[in-house]
This record gives sequence, structure tokens and C-alpha cells, in this order.
Amino acid sequence: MSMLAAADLSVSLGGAPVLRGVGLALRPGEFTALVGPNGAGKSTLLRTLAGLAPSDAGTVTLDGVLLPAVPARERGRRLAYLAQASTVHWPLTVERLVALGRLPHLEPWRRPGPADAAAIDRALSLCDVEGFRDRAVTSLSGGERARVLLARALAGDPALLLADEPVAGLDPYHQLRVMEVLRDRAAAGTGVLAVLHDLALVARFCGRVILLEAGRVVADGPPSLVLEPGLLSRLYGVAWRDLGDGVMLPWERLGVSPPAPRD
Amino acid sequence: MTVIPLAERLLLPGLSLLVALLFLGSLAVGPSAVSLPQAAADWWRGGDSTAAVIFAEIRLPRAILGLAVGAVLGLSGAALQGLLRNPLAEPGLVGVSASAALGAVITFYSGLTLAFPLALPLGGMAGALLATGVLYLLAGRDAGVLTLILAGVAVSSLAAALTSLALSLSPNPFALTEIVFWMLGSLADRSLEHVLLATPFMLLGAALLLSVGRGLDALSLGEDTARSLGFSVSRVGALVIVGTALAVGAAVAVAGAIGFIGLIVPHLLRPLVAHQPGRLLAPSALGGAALALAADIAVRLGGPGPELKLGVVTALLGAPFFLALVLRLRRSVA
Repeated sequence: MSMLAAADLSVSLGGAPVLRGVGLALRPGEFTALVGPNGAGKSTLLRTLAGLAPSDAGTVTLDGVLLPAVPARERGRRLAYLAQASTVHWPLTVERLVALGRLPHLEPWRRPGPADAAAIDRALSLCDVEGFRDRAVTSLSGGERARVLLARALAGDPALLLADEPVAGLDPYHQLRVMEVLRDRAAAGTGVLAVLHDLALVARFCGRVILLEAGRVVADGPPSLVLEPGLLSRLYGVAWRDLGDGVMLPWERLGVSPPAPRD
Repeated sequence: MTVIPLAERLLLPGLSLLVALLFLGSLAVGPSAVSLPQAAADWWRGGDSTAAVIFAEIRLPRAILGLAVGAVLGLSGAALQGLLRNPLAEPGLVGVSASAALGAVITFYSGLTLAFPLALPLGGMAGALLATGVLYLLAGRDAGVLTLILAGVAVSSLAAALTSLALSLSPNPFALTEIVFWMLGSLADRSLEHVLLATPFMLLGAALLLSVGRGLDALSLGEDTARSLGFSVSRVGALVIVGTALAVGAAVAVAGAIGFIGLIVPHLLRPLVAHQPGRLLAPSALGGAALALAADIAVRLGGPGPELKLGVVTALLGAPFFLALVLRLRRSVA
């Protein structure tokens, strides 16, 4: 049971502040959505939590150990990161690509064993991609490829999963399927933090929402409390329509663009 | 369980057999008719018959260098293509080939080669090591892969310019001819001293290159994902570039510039390992060795007249291939 915590995290990119004093804790068994307008710092927060971007101030700890002090392989075993719209550079087969998720578990110079094969098979079937196990990833459609990349992240059986827009580009069937997979993973004890834009999916599947605005956490709690029309309207510059059961749809734009980030 | 296709499982044994046969072929081919088993047996017993001397001082160094030079060119080409995720990368990219050539040309120019024959490969090694040092200093400072490659391009251009300067200032037309012929790349008339000089660096470089297979596999998912899987991208980059510099620098120092092997071989073998960059390393080493040995046998069988230079043959084969590769890539992108 791993826990990832950020305290007072500040990050800037090219001199511009992106995160300003973010604090949060990801607990095992929780499916948390990270929500906010474009440019709010969601992807940067995910990369920083994964140990991929340096921070100006503040700390990230994995099970109480400062992230830079956790050996990279150990971190790779416990924490999986699914990049946003990532490219695959060679026409690898789906199975070999998903097998790359096992790399942090392999001993140097040892071949993958039965445990690795089982984890790969499990991930392939969870993401509904075992049908094209032997096809080249580059020959798949964008949505199919997104599911293969999610399977890669799940193949490592991580205790924590940071996923940047895991349902972007998926058809409705597979959006639901991926949300179910992530929810089930969380129920089985994995801590999942996913950047999501579809607040209807968030309301239905996630136990917790973190709202990010201009690099600050402005709300953190269950969707029924956080996804509130007044706050969302201010955040996105959009009027929302409540369809009941906490399902909110963006309905019309208010003014010309979302409110400028406050400095 | 990942089932490795039969063709892929047979690749390493098949290529090893091919290399072994070509190695024997390289030992057997030459202008003087020598019975290979008899010469080898005589040499082994410590005999000094003409056959034994030809075997030990002409054929054996040539075959060993063909094997080693071809292997490091193929291996470093595969590693660089994996690192840069670009099928057009080749060993000359990191600047050591040009620097080794410059070092060798300076020994010609200064007349050191007349006083002391091994000055030539030593000069080449010094040039290559100097370039490696520059790259290593950059790599040690956690420079990105792109920085290292740009530094390699800069080192390459500077070395090429200085080589041209040495050529244009050369006082001796014979030295000029020698330099030009040397730069064409050849394995002819190399001694066991050449082998002993270059092999340690080639082995060390090859060991560094063979250690990065899984890092290259992870890099096929991009740098962020590779790092999230526990790999240090800057470490993988430094190993590939320093390994290439050591191995290819030593190869160029003893054999001159032999082009296109590092480009063609990984490209030909890539589909046979299902495009997995880490699994491409060992087959590319064997494939490079096979191609260099085969081309070096071909130049010796090339009929009467002066022997063609090995680098000329590989370029004659390689350039049309490169063109076809570019056209095919354009089609698949379009």
C-alpha cells in the first residue's frame, strides 16, 4: 500500500510559474480525478508527482521517502505514469509494447518469467486489446493505441497510477470500459490519479476530485461537493446544465474566454 | 508468454554461422595461393614457412579487423538509431570518425608515419579519444541527447575543416596520395599490432553499447515514459555516445572511414527482431561483421589491377541503398 504526497509544490516552466504551492495526498484504493481548464498545470503536476519534472520548491514523497531519494527502478515498480498523447517510435507489436511495462520488474540480463507473462496477459485483456496482440502499434487507430498504452502502464501492477487523459480519443464504449478498469484497479488497492475533462464521467466513476486553477488546488473532495455549478462556471467560463445524479454538461460559453489566471 | 518467432530465434545462430564462414573465407582469400589448414597448422606449431607468415601477418590481422570493425560499426549504428529513434542515424554522427581521420592525417602530414609506422593508428586513436573526451565532458554535465549530437556535428565539421587544411598545405604530393587512399578505408596491409592497438577500445565500446538494450526498448515509448520506467535517459545517451566514440574511433584509426555499414545493417535486420531496438544490438554487430568481411573478400576477388578500397565498395553498395531507404520512408509517411 503506497502513498504519494506533495507538499507546498511549486514548479515553473521557462520562467513562468505553473504550480504554486500545491499540496495533496494520494491514498491507495482511491480513484481521483484531476480536473481544471487548459493550462491550469494538470500535466505538470502529474509529471512532477512522477518525478519527471524538477520542482522549484516543496516536496514529493513516496511512502514517506523524498522522491529523488527513491531509486529509479523502485519508483518505476511502484508508480506508473501514462503520458498524454504519447507517441510510439517503432512499429512494435502490441504485446511487446505492453511487455515494456514489466521492465522495472526484470532483473538485469534475465528473461521475463511466467509472472511477467501473466501480468501482460491480464493487462491486454483488461484494456480489451488482446485481439490485436500481434499487430504493429503504428497500424492501430488513435483510440486503440491509447488503450494499448494504458495496458502498458497496468502491466507493471503499480501501486500508484498517474494517467494523463486516459480516455481522450476513445469511443463511448471504451471510455466506459477504461473508467471501469481504473475504478476496479482502485477498488483492488491501487491509488489512481487521472486527468479528465468529462465531468459526467468524473461524477459517475471517481470517488474524489481535485480541481486545479492556475497552478493552485481550489477544491478537493467528493464529486458531489466539488462539482458545483457556481465554482465550475467561474473556473471554465461556461454555464453548466445539471442532468441529475451529479452529472453536469457544459452548455454555453459565458463571455469570450475563461477568466484569465490571477497572479 | 511472449512467443519469439522462429525466424527471430534463428537470427543469432544463423548470423554467427555466417560470420564464422566469412571469417574462414577471409583467411583463405588472397593473391598468393596458400593452403589454409596447412598454414594455420604450421603457424600454430610456431613454424616460419612462407605460408605461416602470410597467415599470421597478413591474413589473420585482416580477418580479425574485418570482423571487429564491421561488428562495432553495425552495433553502434543500431544503438544510435535506437537512442535517437531515427533510422537514419549512423556512427559518423558523433564526430569520432572525422576526428580519428584528422589525427591520422596529422601523422601523415608531419612525416611521423615515415619514422614509425604505428604512428598512423596511434594518431587516429588520439584524435578519436580527444573527440570522445569532449563528448564525455558534455555527457557528464547531463547534456541532453540533442546537445551531444549537435556537439558531435560541430566536432565533425571542425575535424573535416582541419583535415582539408592539412591536405591543402601538404608539402609532399606522395603524402597527399597516401592520405587520400588511407581515408578511403581499407583493411589491407594491417598487422597484428594494429589489432592489438584497436581491439581493447573496440571491446570496451562494444560492452558499453551492449549494456543499454533495455534502456533503448524503454525509449521507444518516449523519454518521459522511459524515465518513469526507471531508466536514466541521460545515462543511456552517455553510454551510447561514449561507447560509439571508443569503438568507432578505434575502428577508424586502424581501417580508415568505412561508411554505410552502420546505417544499412541495423535497417536490414530491424524487421527480423520485430523492430525492438534492444534486441537489434547483437544481431547488428554480427551483421556488420558479416558485411565487412564479405565486402573485404569481394575487394580481393575483384580481378587484376590495384585492389579496390573497402570504403569505396561499401559506399557503392550503401549509397543506392540509402536512397531507396529515403524514398521508402517518404512513401510510408506520405
